Amino acid sequence: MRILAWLLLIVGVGLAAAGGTVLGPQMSTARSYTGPLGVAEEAMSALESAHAAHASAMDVLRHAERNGDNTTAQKGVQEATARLTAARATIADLQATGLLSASPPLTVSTLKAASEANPPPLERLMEWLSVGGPWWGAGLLMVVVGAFLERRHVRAQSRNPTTGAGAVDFLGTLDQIEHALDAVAAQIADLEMDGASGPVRDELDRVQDELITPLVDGRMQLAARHGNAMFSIYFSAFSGAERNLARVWSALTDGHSVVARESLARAQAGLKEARAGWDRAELTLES
Amino acid sequence: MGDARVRPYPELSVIGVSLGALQGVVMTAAFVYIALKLGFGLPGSTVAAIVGFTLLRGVLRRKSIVENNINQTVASGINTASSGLVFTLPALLLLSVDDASLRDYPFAALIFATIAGSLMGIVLIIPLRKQMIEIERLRFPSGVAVATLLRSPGEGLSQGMLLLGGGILAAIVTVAVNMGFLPGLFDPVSNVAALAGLDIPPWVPFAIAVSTANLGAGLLSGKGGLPFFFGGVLAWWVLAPVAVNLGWVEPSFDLQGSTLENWRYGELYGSMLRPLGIGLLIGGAIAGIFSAAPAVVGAMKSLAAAAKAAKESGASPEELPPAWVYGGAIGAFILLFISAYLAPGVELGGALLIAVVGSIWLGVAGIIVATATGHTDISPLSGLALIAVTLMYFLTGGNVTASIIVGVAICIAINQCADMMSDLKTGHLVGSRPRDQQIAQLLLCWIGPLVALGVLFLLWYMPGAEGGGFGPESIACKTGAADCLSAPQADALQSVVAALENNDSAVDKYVGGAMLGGALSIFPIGGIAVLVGLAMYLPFDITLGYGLGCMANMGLQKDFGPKFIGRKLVPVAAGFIVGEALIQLAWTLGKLALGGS
Repeated sequence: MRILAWLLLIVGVGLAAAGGTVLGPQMSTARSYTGPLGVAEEAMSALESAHAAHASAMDVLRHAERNGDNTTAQKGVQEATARLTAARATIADLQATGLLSASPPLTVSTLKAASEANPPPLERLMEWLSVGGPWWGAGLLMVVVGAFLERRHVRAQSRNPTTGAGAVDFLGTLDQIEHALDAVAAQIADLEMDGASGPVRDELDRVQDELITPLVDGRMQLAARHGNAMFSIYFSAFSGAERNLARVWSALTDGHSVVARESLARAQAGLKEARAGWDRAELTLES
Repeated sequence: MGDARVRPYPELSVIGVSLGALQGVVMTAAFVYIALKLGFGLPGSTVAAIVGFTLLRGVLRRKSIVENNINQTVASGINTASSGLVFTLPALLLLSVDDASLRDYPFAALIFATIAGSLMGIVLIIPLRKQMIEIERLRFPSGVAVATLLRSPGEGLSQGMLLLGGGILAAIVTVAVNMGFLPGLFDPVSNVAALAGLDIPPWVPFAIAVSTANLGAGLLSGKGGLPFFFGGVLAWWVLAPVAVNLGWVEPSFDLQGSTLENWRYGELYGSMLRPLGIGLLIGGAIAGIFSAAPAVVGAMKSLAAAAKAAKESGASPEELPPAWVYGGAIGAFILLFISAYLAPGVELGGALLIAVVGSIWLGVAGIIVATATGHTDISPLSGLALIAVTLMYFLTGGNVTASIIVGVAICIAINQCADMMSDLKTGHLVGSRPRDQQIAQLLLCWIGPLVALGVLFLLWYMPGAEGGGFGPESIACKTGAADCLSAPQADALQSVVAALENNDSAVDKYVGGAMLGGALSIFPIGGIAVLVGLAMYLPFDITLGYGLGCMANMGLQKDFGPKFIGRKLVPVAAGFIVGEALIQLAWTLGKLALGGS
């Protein structure tokens, strides 16, 4: 069933996206003129540049004649030649497009008008639906069916004691975290301001890496088990506790044992609140 | 027990906030100039965190990680106005050069719009914080990088060396790319194919952006970022070849060789994939609103309950009470309404409609940007601002001035959303109280818009700059002077406005993409529609580089376990992000100072 869900998703997204990509006939026609328009505009610009280069070269030659400055004349002619060569290449591109032999003849302005002949928004939408709609619609349907199959699978898994949310042992992990924090509380109970706290911070890092992070990684199973609304209540309390543990860590780094103790107390209270929220969610499940 | 000396633990302190404000003002002024010159903005959080580290901890000997977090929150919050403004307002100024009717905009409307945007972006995020950071656990790679930086005094030497090592490698790569020793794009398949005499067209790209920050974002995201990579593969390795081979991208006349292939690439990207991606983003965000609604309602209730409990116990609450959210939202809405009403040609009813629709779009777009940034560190700001201006254009019956003024508010707001959420992620990782970060930003959010507006108009009305001090038609740019500010982003929005006037709005793509995004959101993978849409929206070289980072994370996690990821990979990836940001900033400022561009 899961394989079917993913197959439907992948094929469905591909089909729907393909259907969504295609342009309606009027838009397609309009856009087809943008490439040749670009070439025509470039050729126009190259011609203007060549014309300007020619005029400039004439000025330079006249100046050189008067002053006998052959070096400057040479440079000017070289530059004009380069621009003429570039213009020739661009015009060759233009010739290859067939634009120059089009009947009726096309100018930059007529090409521009053709490329901007866009249908109004509603007409554009209807045209697209007539061309890409069937593929897009079929793909959409496949995505929806696949999504519901996958959601059913995830929910069924979450109720399986070996592979479901039972595999993410929320209460068991909470017990371990609370036990570890009780030990941390004992260690910092008499810690002076600016006292050494390296081992305590290492223990907090261990709690984060070995207990909190795996629980966070498995949270979607918990959400599938209890539903988003109930899940968010107890998980939010858990996250608040996590944030307060980070504050404990920061305060210990900064040498502030008082704030560390206060934050640890808030973290422990948050974990109790998370436990109570879980219990309520389980009761709701049972009823 | 009693402590002999109990010093305060500064967090929301005058010094921290003042330093953040000062940095924010300087960065805003500088980044407005840089964005007009070069077309891109720069992140402020990293710079502010490092300066704060140096000054607060190093010079003033104030040992407080959370105070430095407030400093960087304030600085980056003020700075977000710069990129939001520079993308939108200059377009109006540039258009007004040839169209005198567009010069009739009241300055007050702009002030109200920018402040409304800044305020609304912050209040939108407050109830979404729990959902995005605590429940969905969006990564916010830059937020993680800044947190790693802030925590560095307490991490072991080995972690500090990993962070530094990552930063140095990033600096070397960034300098090498900027100096041309390394290509900005690494195209392994096309290069090898060319050696073998094969020609791979540009619309089947294999190029990877050479960016340690992009790779670092992927390394931090891991498995969660894979839908982004697969979206890019779908767009460019499946859809693009299918579209070309089925004849969907054919010119009306014979184009040859590279001219043809480059045109095809441009059409595929600009007319097909990018607008479809924007549609997916919109659909994904709207679906996300519906699915998150119960949790958001729950979050508002818990804000109220927490405020009540704190009041009864005399303790300081960790979250802002809902009254601040409602008050801020109402205040921002009123400012937006006034700014719309002051725009020329807008009546009372029209202004109300603009304010309502603008606020709704702002909410949707803010969620999109926060989600996208949360997964990938990439913000589709330009595409969403484009939609904002398009929406307003249709609502106002083609009133360009009103469209852009409201577009300014929306652009600043959505930028503020992403920045605030990233800062709150940093706060979560270092133990900051969300309330303190939110208060700091709410109280100072008006500064950035005013500074950005001031600098922008200073540059526009420069002495001797008849017809405008920036833009391609400015005297400096026409004569190729070193002080040319070409405002490329404004140029892009100008062409959008021109396209709207020619009926060229990709409505079919937006609608088709939105419904696909909505359908995709039913699948139980968080943010899948936003990620796939973002991948279609962006060039593939970014997606590919990021995807390699995700896969590297997954491979390392499989071989070395999650502890390795947290202790070794995270600081290296953070170094990648921080190093590139700092060097890029230094490089940009150095070039400008030396008169280059």
